[in-house]
Amino acid sequence: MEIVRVKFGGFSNVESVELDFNKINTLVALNNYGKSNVIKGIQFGIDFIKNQSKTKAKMMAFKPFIPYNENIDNKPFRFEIEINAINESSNYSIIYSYSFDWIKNDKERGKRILEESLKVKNLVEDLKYSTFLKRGLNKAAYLPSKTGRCDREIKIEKDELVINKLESFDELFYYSIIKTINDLNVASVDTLQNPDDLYKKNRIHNNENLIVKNDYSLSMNEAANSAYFIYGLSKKKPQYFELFKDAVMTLLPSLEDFEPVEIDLKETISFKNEEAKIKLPLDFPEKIYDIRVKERNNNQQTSITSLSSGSQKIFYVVSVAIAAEINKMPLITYEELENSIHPGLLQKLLIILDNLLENSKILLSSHSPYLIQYLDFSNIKIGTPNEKGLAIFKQLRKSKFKKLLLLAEDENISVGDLIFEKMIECQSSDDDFFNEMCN
Amino acid sequence: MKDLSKLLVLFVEGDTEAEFYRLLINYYKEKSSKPFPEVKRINLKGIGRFEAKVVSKLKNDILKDKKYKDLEIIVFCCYDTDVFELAKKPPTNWSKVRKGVAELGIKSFYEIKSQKMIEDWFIKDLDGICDFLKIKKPKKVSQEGLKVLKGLFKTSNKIYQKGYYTHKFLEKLDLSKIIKALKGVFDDLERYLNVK
Repeated sequence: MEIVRVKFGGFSNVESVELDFNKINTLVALNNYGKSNVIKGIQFGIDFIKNQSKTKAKMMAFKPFIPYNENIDNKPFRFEIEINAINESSNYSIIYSYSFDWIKNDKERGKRILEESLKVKNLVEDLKYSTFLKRGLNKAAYLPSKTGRCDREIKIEKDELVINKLESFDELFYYSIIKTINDLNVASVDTLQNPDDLYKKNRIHNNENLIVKNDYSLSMNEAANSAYFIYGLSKKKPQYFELFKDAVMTLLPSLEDFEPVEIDLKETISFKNEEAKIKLPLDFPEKIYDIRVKERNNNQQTSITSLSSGSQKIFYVVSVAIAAEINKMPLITYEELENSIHPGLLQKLLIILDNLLENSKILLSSHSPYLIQYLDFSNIKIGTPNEKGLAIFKQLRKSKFKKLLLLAEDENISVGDLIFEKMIECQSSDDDFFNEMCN
Repeated sequence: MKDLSKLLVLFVEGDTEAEFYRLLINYYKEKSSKPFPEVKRINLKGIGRFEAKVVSKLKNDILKDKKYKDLEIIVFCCYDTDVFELAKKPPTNWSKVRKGVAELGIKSFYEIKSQKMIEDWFIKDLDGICDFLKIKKPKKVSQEGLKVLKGLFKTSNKIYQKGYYTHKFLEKLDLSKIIKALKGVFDDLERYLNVK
């Protein structure tokens, strides 16, 4: 499955934004222009599809994302996603969308789903999209059979999506498409302001560890529990572990070697009774995880927590990419990937992520001209200043790519520097540079 | 025996290229029976613009060095003619570099261009690459070296990083095979190394 495009609006300070996804996509802007809101909006839009009605109701009243900029404070949340999927040996283009009203003073008018639609096109056989599902405020209908029309009515509550309801109609001829939308997921890596905390989870001390895990899981959720995930990777997917090791070692040449370790607390004790253990229905696993590292010039190996913040971040960023690849996540987002990473390493890191991720696309937000200079123009979205205080992201025009390169060359700077220079200039004057350069 | 009349300065674009040219120069040195000049490789890798860097390196590291005062300076810029997707933008303007070098009073300026990328050269010796990766040699591969290398490395659970990967894989390549396949690409270099 491949995410082709996402369009959404009525979210925080985002009026409307549309992103066509290539392999590596970047949002560039000065501070406070809404880069994070765009990333959060995509995550929110996809989470809303997956969550149960009760959670949906809470999401429609979630304060941090309700738009309160006066220019868009009445806008409903609208979300549209275009996906390419291969199902039953055919290739489909799927466009799914919905909208809802945020909570309002007038209780009747708020916290309700307004519209929903599913349109599908067989990319080999069809010339145009067919409607598989449509829903208005009080009425919803779906397509019951290949030869029928989209008019079979279905009862729906104001905090329910038809797409979720249809998941229990497993005889529908497009059931796999319904499943694809319900299973949508995005992996996210935030700004990691405190990478030092990433590996402190190696001890059993939080609620998450109250869940008994008696096997190694490589699910996306486990990637946050880095040392455990990396140990599991070495056991369950050694070929991916080798790839992970190769990536990390080339990014961190000061490392001589590293190895994830597991310590079974029960095994270290003198009064263990092997015979009794066999008879138990469940022998509670109590293990701790760490990654032991040997750095050049150090006289002994240490815990990964002794590495610098940037090095720990690299371990994490690469392991999340591997998790996304294993779990076939269609999209992985990185907020300010450049944090704690020196500029000389950014190209290498981009090459590695590009190579690692065959199934997933990447969406980055960045403040770094050093990172931007390596990216294709068609993959950059620029947050442009505007008087309304809205997050407006524009795409550079293809016909202007050459001009941008020439301008950068004339000024003897990189394209990354040029884009930031112009953003700064536009912030303090009525310069219409981006109006000319962008769509 | 040393040729004390000239200094060859080779500008390369990254670690992989630097390693390749180190091995290439050593290869010629071993083959040579005539006086061999000093060769200085300068890796332009980094975050700045290459045009300014070439001129600055020549000005400050070579021309100001008393050691090279009376030597004829010959500059070679070694680069890909094609840019890969994640390359620095804008790409280096080599004619600007040529002009900048001439302004320093250096008359001998040559370009060694990899058509389209240096990886296209590497795959001229697929046996060496597969030997390094400990994988079976594929029967047929594309002409796009970078694509081929990325694929072969992945088969061996490694990531080929253009411009950065060295890790001894170039040592496994049979340079004579590559030089023969490239027919004349290194003619100018060979002439100044006295191995033509």
